[in-house]
Amino acid sequence: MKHTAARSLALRLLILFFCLGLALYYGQLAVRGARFASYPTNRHVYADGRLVRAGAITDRNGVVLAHTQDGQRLFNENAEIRQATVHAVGDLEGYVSTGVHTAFWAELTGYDAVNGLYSGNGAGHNMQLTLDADLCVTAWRALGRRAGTVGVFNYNTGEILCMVSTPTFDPQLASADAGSQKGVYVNRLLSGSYAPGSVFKVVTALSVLQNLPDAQTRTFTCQRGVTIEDEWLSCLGNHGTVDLQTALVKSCNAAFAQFALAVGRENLTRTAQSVGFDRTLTMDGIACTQSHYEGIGARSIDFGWSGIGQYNDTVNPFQYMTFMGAIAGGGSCARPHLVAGTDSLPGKARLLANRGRVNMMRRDHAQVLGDMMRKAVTDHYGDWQFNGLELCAKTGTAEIGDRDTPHSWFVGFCRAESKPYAFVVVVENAGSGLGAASSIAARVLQAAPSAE
Amino acid sequence: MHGLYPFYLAASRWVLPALAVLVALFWVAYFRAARPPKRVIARFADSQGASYPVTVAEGFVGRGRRCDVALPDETVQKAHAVFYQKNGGWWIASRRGDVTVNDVPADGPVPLMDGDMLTLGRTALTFVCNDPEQEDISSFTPPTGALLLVLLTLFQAVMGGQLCLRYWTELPLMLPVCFGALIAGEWLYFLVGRWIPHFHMLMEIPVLYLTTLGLAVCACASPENLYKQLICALLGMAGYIGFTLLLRKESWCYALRFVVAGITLAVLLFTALFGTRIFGARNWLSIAGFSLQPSEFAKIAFVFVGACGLYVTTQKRLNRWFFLAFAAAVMGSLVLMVDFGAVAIFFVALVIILLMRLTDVRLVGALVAAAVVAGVLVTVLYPYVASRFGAWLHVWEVADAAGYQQTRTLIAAASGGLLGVGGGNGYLSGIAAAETDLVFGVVSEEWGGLIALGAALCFVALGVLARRLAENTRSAFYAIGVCAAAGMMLFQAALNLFGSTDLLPLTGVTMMFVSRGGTSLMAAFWLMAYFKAAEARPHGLETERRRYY
Ligand SMILES: [Zn+2]
Repeated sequence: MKHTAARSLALRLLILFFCLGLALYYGQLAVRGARFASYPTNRHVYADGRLVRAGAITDRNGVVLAHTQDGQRLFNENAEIRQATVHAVGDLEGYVSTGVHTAFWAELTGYDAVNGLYSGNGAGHNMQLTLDADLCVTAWRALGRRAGTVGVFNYNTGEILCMVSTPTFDPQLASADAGSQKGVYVNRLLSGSYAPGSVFKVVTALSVLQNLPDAQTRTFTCQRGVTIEDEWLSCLGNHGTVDLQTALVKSCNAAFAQFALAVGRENLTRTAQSVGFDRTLTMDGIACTQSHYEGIGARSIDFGWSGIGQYNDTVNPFQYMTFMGAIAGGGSCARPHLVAGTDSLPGKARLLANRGRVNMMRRDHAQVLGDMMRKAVTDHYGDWQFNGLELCAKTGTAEIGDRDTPHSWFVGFCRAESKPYAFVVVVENAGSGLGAASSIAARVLQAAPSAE
Repeated sequence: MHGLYPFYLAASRWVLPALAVLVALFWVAYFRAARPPKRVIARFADSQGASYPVTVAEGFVGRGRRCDVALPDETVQKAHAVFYQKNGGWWIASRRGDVTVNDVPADGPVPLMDGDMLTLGRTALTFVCNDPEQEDISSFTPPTGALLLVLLTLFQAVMGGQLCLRYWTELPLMLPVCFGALIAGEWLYFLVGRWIPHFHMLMEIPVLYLTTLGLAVCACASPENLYKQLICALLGMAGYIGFTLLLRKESWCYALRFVVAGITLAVLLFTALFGTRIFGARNWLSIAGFSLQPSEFAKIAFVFVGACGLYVTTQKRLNRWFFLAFAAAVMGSLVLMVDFGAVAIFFVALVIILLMRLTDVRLVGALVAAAVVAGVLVTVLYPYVASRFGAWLHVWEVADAAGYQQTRTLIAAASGGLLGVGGGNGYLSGIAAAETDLVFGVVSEEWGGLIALGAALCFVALGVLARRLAENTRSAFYAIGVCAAAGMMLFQAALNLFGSTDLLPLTGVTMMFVSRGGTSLMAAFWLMAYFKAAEARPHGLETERRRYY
């Protein structure tokens, strides 16, 4: 019956499509299985839409930030700790997408593609964070009612000690009720994106060092601003003739705009990219919002503005914190990370894959940049606020339109051996960087524990 | 729950998939080993001394590579003529080219005697049927599949054991009885069957695997129906044996086809008009307290009429129109029942049957085009169908509304991983229609992705087996019957599996053998008779009276 059987083509096609469908289905399950299983109606791990079956999350000192007891998920009993760490720890309903509860859902619940959510594998895996809960509370108190973020990490080890974002909410209560505050679920350190203002001058300065042979001797003139192709670029002071060092210390717009023009669009863009602009940085595999620099194609006046952190520049605080760490570490630093360890095997693999170092610039350039930022603190900001820290820093005041108060930036690092920390502070609509942001940085860094 | 349950579960969730993998591997090995031998029952000899053995009781002679007797002659048509055995004698009928028998042009079927001279094109052949070069095939004993059955029994015992411990207090008696009865039934079948020459368990193993999963799902999701499920499985087996015996008598089937067609249509129409509506489709009939789905049995009749209606290769015109009219009437009554999943399944069977018999591709093309138009019309006329289609491919956006069943299935399947959380420990079985329409998700969650994959592959195995059987069976009746039956099962499995996981629109059909439901289980077993009938009669042994079964 070969002749008749050969015409069972329809059956043959059916078998083929069935197998293709199976491959598609199992492929989809392999790729998106964790997302399917983490849907909040899944009663294996959720009750009333809130995660219940998961391991404990502790800070670096063993302070319990969240754990499950008698079928209930409990956060730290201190409301201040809960609110200060909610963006790092995450909520139970998946609103804070970068929080550990969501981003490490599989590791916490013990889900894997082989075992699924088999309960015999225990009630999930524990996780220790690098955070210092008390330091987070200090930062949260310092931020007060203002929106913003504070990030501090050890540039030798990569451990993030402080990661606070405001406004915030209490994860022990229903997450949805907090929704009236704007951007309350967003971790501004990882997912924020701000105009950088003068802190961008550090990038321009790096590009000058990299591209101009006479970088440290070249001078430009400031007369409360400068004319670029018949358009006026204003400066906050009348700085006269300044070199790179003075320009950075005094944050002279006119000089930096001219430095940018001297370096050129391509070179500045290349430098920006080498320190993490227009690239997706990750923290323990969690993708951060990209920083963005756009110099190529801009008119000269716009390119001038872009060199001092205006025009279309946007900066993600995490990226800048890493950049500061790299300057502090002599051109490179350990990759910032939040999770210190876990007893989940896939979790261990994931942590391992996200360790390592980031290399951003040459050691001598980092040294010069650091020295200039140190001088900005001693000569301009006032070292008395930062006793014993050997602070190197740069302020920023990011104009965001005529009507709104500018965002306040303070970025930098400590050279003191006991406090190898790089930091970023952004306070929204707080005016000058020297003030709101720098005083928060001072409080947090003074409170930061000494590194072993 | 028994105290040992956690330990037993931890071990058995690895052991069960391992056994399933072993069953699959051995099945493939047996499938390769059990290729049936060819047996020469007649031959054609040409003037140059070349001999063309005949190993089938119905076949084509022509130039085509796929012809049973392939002649190397340009003047012969690709499918020149048909020869077949009927009533103990041989016949030949021209199909695409002229044939002469003893210099008399054959006009219609002509009997062939030993020593008759034939001409096809320029080729002259002598027909020899009294002293065929008989090959000795008695020494060939294909493996019966005893090892496969042992492995499967282990699988069933481990699975049953897990459930027994899980429901130690709730179902102390029911579970051992049900799994025990299933195991006893299949071994009785095997021990009797192995006395039959060339008996093997290739087709039975996938079916029993699926039935076991069905019992397990039923035990967890609705234990009150477990005995019913078991009894229907045993009744299904009995009916399958009886139906196989009937199918052996090709001429009886041919005589019965009008009766079967008539009864089927009458019952379907009655159901469409007076049936009970469950989940939107009016396809249930309640008789004296028993409710059944006639459309399930209609599948068997449909294949029966389709294969019979095209019984002998040459008789086609009347039969074609009879079958097409019957198909139209069956599908019409299913539309009246608002059971569109079933319509699609019948349509696939129709296409398979037509393509296997007719070379009239245009007719099939026209039918497919008509089906597409009909499908569009249905979505316009029946809003609830349209709403189901509306959720298709973006079920997560409507996860708590139109995509509820699909998203819950995917959540369950992901939660089960590859090894599952253990029978009765899933949550999908709690939602409506889980143990019928979403049964693949229930199996995936509780028994794991590997065992669920095994269930899907069972249908693939049956499809592959059907094609092998069709190649070696004695006549078109069995070839078409087995392919149509396999096509129906495979397509229905696809609608169930991919519908509930959002690769296809959710149509709400069951998965044969696994879904809970007495009628569909029995009907599924009956469909398997097409496999056994095709297999039990290899290569033209009509004149030989063997005692099968
Ligand atoms: Zn100036």
